[in-house]
Amino acid sequence: MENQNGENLEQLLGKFQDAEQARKAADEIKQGEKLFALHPAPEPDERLIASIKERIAMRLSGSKAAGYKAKAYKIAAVAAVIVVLSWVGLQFFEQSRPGPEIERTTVAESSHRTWSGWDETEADAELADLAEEIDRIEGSILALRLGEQDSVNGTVLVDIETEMVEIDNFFWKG
Amino acid sequence: MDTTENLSEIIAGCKDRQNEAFSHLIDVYANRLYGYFYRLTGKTDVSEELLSEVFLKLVEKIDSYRDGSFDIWLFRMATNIFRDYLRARQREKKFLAWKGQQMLTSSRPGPRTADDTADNLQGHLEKLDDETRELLVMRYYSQLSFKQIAQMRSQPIGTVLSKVHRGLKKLRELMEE
Repeated sequence: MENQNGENLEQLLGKFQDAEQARKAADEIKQGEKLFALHPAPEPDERLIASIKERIAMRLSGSKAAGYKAKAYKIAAVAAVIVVLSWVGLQFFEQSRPGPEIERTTVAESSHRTWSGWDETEADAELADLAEEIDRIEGSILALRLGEQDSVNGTVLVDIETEMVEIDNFFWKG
Repeated sequence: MDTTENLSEIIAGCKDRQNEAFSHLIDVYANRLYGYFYRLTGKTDVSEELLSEVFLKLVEKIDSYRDGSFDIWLFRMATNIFRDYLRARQREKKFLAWKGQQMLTSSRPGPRTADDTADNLQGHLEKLDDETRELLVMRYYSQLSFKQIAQMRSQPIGTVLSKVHRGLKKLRELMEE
């Protein structure tokens, strides 16, 4: 392992010292570095190396899985954005299209027409007739109770009964 | 050691998250990195831990390596990991001191195993100051040139040369005593 960095020590030291000093210093450095070669440090256990490789393999597979997950999330996010944009675009398109407005107008008009068929003046007149008839019948019943009219032959009762039938029919027929 | 071209292919494979490429890189650098950590800490268990850490960090950081010397990049990372370890040890030391326990020995290089004491060089390396020891170990195990080491440490090359020269001279004297 020594002197594999391919540098000329004497030349390098010669920039700072005279030639003799540089030669001596270079020699001392080389001798000193030999001590490391003569006393090599222990080497790492094979099991340690295998364990490190295993941990790295696990970490790499973990990071790949995380990468796939991140990609899936990105794709899902992009898809969601596309769906939302499409929906918004469709809504905008439908609003600007003339068709549905005409349809809505038609519905509004038909409902207006349904309610405009109702004649309020006519209805009031009919209601007033009914109220008048009821008042008249109430008066007849009162007269009968008080015996003010001829009730011997029972004509008043018959009249009232007839009128009630008529009112009933009129009411349901409209 | 692989040629630069082969190394570039391996690194490209690593960047492509290929398990085989990382495996190859471990085979190329494991011994040197382990030796580097062992000579700095003197402990096999710590060296094993730091070696694992540096390779796991490599997986994490490989994309940040652009160009230039891969060895500089890798050993800079190893040095940072070692310094983090030292800082953690300092914190532990302070904590133990604060607790008032007579256990400072546990925060020193630690009880030596039979393998550790058999290594005479290791014992003498520990007598050197931290910076000199780090420089000598870096120089030998990284196989970087003085110019590269100076670049890595942001120091003038003359300073690096002088420190290594003095350190190795001192180490030889200690070994010869």
